[in-house]
Amino acid sequence: VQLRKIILKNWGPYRGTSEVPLAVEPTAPIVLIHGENMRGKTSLLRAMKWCLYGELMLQDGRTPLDHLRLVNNDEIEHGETEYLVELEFEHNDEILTLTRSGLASIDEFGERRSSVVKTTLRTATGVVYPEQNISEVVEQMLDKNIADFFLFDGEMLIRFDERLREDAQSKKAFIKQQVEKALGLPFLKRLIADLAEVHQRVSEELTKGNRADDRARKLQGDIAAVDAQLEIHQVDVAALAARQELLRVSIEQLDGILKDVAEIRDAYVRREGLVEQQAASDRKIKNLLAEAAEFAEANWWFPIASMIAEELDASIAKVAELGEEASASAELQFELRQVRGQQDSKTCSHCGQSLPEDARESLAHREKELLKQIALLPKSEDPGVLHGRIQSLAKFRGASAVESQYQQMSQAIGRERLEHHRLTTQVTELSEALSSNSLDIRAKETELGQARAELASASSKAAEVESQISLMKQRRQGLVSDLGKLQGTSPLLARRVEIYGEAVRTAEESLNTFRQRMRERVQDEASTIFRALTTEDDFAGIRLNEDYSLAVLHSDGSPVDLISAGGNQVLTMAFIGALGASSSNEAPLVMDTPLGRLDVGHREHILRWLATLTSQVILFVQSGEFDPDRDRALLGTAIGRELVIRRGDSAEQSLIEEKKR
Amino acid sequence: MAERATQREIALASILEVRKYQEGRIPEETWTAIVNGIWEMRHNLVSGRGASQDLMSGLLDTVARESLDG
Repeated sequence: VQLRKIILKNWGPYRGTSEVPLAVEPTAPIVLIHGENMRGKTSLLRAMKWCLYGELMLQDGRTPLDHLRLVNNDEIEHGETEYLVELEFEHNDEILTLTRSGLASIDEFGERRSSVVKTTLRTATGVVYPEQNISEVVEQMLDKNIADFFLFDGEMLIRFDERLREDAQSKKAFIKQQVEKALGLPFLKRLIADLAEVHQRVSEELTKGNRADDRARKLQGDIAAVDAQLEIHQVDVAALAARQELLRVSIEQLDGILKDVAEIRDAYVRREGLVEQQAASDRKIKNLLAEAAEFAEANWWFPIASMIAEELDASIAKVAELGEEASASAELQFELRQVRGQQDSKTCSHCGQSLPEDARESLAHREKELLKQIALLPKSEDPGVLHGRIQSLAKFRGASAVESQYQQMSQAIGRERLEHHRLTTQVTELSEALSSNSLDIRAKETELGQARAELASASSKAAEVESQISLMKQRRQGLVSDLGKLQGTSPLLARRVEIYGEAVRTAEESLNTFRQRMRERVQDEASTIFRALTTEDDFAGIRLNEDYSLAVLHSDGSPVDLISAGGNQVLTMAFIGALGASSSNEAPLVMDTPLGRLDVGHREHILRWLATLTSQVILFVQSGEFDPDRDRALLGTAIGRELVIRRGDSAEQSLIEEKKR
Repeated sequence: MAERATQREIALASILEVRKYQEGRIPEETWTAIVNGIWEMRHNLVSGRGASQDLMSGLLDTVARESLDG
């Protein structure tokens, strides 16, 4: 990474827009920037840090610093101020421009306020990175964790120096922290994280696959069960089809037989009808005879009806002769017989019930009265007898009606007997005709009916089974479809999980080895730098122990007990230089007034060393630490660019311009 | 620039050392391809982690497949 230029707008003491060219050739990597105190060297360094990471810390390295405090005081006093820092840098032959900007103002309480800071990163060809990816891209180029080691100022050197002077335990912790921070293992840790993520993914795939396998086994079981049921149903269907076929053949045969003997069947039917008619006629004759018998019993007198008519006529004629008196006597005589008859039978002649005592006494009294009346009448043929006879015979009148009815009944019986005879004759004739046919048509018809019923039942059953088969086939199709959608495990998937797991374990375990090697590398680097920077020939190098204790070594390998303040600062610089050099990226080194506390000898060593350190060193110096003649001569042709920050119109305004060479 | 690659070399050497005593099945060439590939991606600002993970998956899948075939 090389910084090509930085543009500042209303930042720190740089009012308006200032463009600072920084690009250098690798053969002359040093950008020398002169500036006295308060001119804006640190503001420039902070502009770089804020532009890269969007945040700032105070020189203690821990306390956040609000970037709005860097907005130009003169400008913001005049109202809303647009501020901006833009870094143009080159990375892998591509030129990128990172810009952060905002609008600042002072509110009614005198506090500085800003709009949302806008950040853009674009390439020279116009490709603009999504804002959410910018920090990741910047981190890849210049890791924020190790920014202190390539963007450091004199204050940081002092801070390091002070910490390295602290008690041993605190020093170890500080060194370890810085080494870890510098080496941060970002690359290896990211590699492990990525491996862990792909391992996690493939493990989840395997878990899902295992679940899919379980589900597949269940589905296969279900399919097998459906297949077994289908097989049973297929057998049933085949059996039913065979049975249906047999029944159809049987029905066909029976139909043929019954069709051939249709006439015979008709004769049978006709005979059955005649037999039924014959039976009905038989019943009718019996009924007519019973009616006739009853009629004859009720009209028993009918055969002597003419004799009765003669006697009646004779009695009526004699009664007429006897005249009225005789008639009266006859009536009395008749009543007397009736009274006596009742007395004898002790029952009522009208209702037939037994007579009570008072009724019998009444009858006796009546008998006496009747005898007295009769005794008073002249003696002749008993008119009572005549009258009784007339009364008895009168009810036999109407013999002609009885005769007519009797004749009708006789005729009906005669007709029915004739019909019966006719039917009997026909039945006899048909029976004789059918006696030669041995076929039991009725049985065949019964058999046909049964066969048809059975065929209907078999057809219905077959349709039901076919329907079940259809449903089962649909279910099977669904199960097979579900099975096809499942992505189960495979030996390859299981092996992938193993291999990925091995990769994660290997990479994780390599972290400690990596740390150890990098610690050794920092130690070697720091020793090399320290030897180059120190003016003490006796100091052979630096040892960074496993517990991260730091020691300066004599040439015989023994630790130096006590070193000077200047020596300690050189040690600090060597350590920082080693950390920066051991970081994953080659970054520009920006050093803000690092030479102030060093003697001439160490300063000379450091200035010579700077040109070898990296491909771009931006060195801020002030007149108290840098001799324009001697020190510039030490840097010699390594100076690629030289700039001067000078006072502008006020104490809070600075101008930066390139020094003509 | 050559010096800066040391960290990659150390990372690879550390992994290979662990691989050796673990008697891992992932070949050295695969680890070399993974480390170098990821390193190059990060330094060339090539896409994000998706591309890194795709590279790893591709290489490790090949190992898994070949170990089964073998």
